[in-house]
Amino acid sequence: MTTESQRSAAVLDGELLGRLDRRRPGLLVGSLASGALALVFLYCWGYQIANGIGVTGINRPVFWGFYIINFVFWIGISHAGTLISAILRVTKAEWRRPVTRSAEAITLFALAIGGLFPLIHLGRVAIFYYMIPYPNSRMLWPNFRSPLVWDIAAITTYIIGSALYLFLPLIPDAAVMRDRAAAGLKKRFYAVLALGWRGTAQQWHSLEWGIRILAVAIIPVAVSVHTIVSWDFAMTQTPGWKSTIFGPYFVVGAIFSGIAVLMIAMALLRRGLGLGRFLTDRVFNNLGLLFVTMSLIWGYFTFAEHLTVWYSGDLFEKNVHHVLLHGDFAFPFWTMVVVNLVIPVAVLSFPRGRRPLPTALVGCGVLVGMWLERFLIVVPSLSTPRLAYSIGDYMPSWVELGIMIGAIGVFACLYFTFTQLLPIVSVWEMREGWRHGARGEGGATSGAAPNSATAAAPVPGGGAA
Amino acid sequence: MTAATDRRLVEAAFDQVEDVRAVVEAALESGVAASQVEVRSPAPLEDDELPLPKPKSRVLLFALAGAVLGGLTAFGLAAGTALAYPLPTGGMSIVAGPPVGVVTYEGTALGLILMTVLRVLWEGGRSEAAAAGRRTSIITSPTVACCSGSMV
Repeated sequence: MTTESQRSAAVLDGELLGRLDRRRPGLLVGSLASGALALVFLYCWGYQIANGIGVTGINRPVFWGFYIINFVFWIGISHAGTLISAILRVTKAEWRRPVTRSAEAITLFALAIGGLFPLIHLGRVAIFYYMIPYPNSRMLWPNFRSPLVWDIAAITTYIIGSALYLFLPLIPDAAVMRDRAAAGLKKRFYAVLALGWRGTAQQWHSLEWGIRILAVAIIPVAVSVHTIVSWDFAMTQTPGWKSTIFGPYFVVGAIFSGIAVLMIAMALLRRGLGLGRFLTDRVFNNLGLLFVTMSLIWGYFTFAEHLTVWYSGDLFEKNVHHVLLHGDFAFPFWTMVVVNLVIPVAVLSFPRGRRPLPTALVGCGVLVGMWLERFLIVVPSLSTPRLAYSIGDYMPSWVELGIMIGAIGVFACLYFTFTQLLPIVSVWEMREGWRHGARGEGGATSGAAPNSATAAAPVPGGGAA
Repeated sequence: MTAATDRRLVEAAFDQVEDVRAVVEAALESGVAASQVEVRSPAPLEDDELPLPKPKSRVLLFALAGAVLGGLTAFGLAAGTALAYPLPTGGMSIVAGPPVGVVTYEGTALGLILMTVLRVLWEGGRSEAAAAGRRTSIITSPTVACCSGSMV
């Protein structure tokens, strides 16, 4: 290894680990603001538990409202991380290195929040345990024929898998943090996380095997989760839901919305934490290309879904189709098309559009669009049922709005906390990538050679910062 | 290079892997068994970088065993509970393929994931080392490799 590369590693340590020792006002403000929103979430949920599900706008015939919309939305966002990170790991994309941990953390926190919404939707949250597979007093087990029970199985598997997939690569970095920390609570915290990691050849070998296997295993799990969520809808006879392509359509939408959150988070991290040397323009460019590809695939699925419904001529399906394209829901529908397809393609097709700010702005639009997509799946179909006398509408109450907005606060609060406690960019993976580059194994570096410890040293997956 | 010795242990820290390689080679030539040499590093080293036997791992084997175990458990849960309390199905099969398949699939994945992680932790000797977690340390200096062994 060269002296320059040693300096690069010193800079790497200083920039990625040193920042954890410093207090950042921006992060503190963000934590407080998100913490306040999290309190709104808790208050609204507590209010609902105390007063019953009647405080929501859910009523016949729209029995699934904001809670199920947000459930699908957050589960979709959870596909940001683990799935994208796993695919990039399996394909050995070098530019993944600064991205993976941030993405995996998004998955875990989004999944935790998404998993809460069915419980909130229950109203009487205490009866959740009916879904846990053990016999009740009448020796009845949960009905495994119900897609809702499949949801429990899939989400439980995914959340455990995602947590472990985040945790395993975190162990070596936690050990470094343990060794850097002064004696006290902080050191004990990192020591527990590090599980006695010493960095021996055997430990690295086992860890790499473990990460490799989890990366391969987690991809079909992630796909299954959103497929099963789609079956909550597609296994019914409800007009607008009974579709053979709902599984892949949901998976594509989930990855699409997941990338949107990832783009926003990375743009914020790059600016807020000064990680421009790691989250380089090259990373944004590559993710931007992936983003626009997913936008086009999403557009294709949307077109295919609506074309077949329209062509079938089925009366009940056409009723739902009509309110979507021309009726009460036309405005959100066409807004969704614009922000999910027209704007991403128009902006991200050009290299200048695949920079941090434009991609983050497009990501915000896509998040709105994907939320609208879930809204347009749930509400129009339920409010336009087969029996004309039961046509109804839906208006969310302040409790539902509070819980929806508060959930964003909970997510941000968890993410800010994680960012302040642990390296949001995997230090050992950056070192490894940089070593690959130094050994000439390709793809790792393309930056200018450093002249000093503070110069723009080669960064794995980097490029022009 | 820094070094510390006691009656049974020599531990040294190096900035460059090439130096570690030279020291390990010298130690092996002087009669130290390869099993007595331990190299610690802040990032994984390639197999060909040091003249030491490649570590072995049975993580894959245990992962597959976990998958089988998880799959069987989930199958038993889905199919067994349907048989234990048969619900009216209108002539359809009591143990239906698709639901049992979905639950078995998720159980297989869960078993695989859990067993993989448990085996990784086991092989790394975490359970033993965790107790001494605050005492152990790795070298955090840049580009480092650390060579230590039970050399007299």
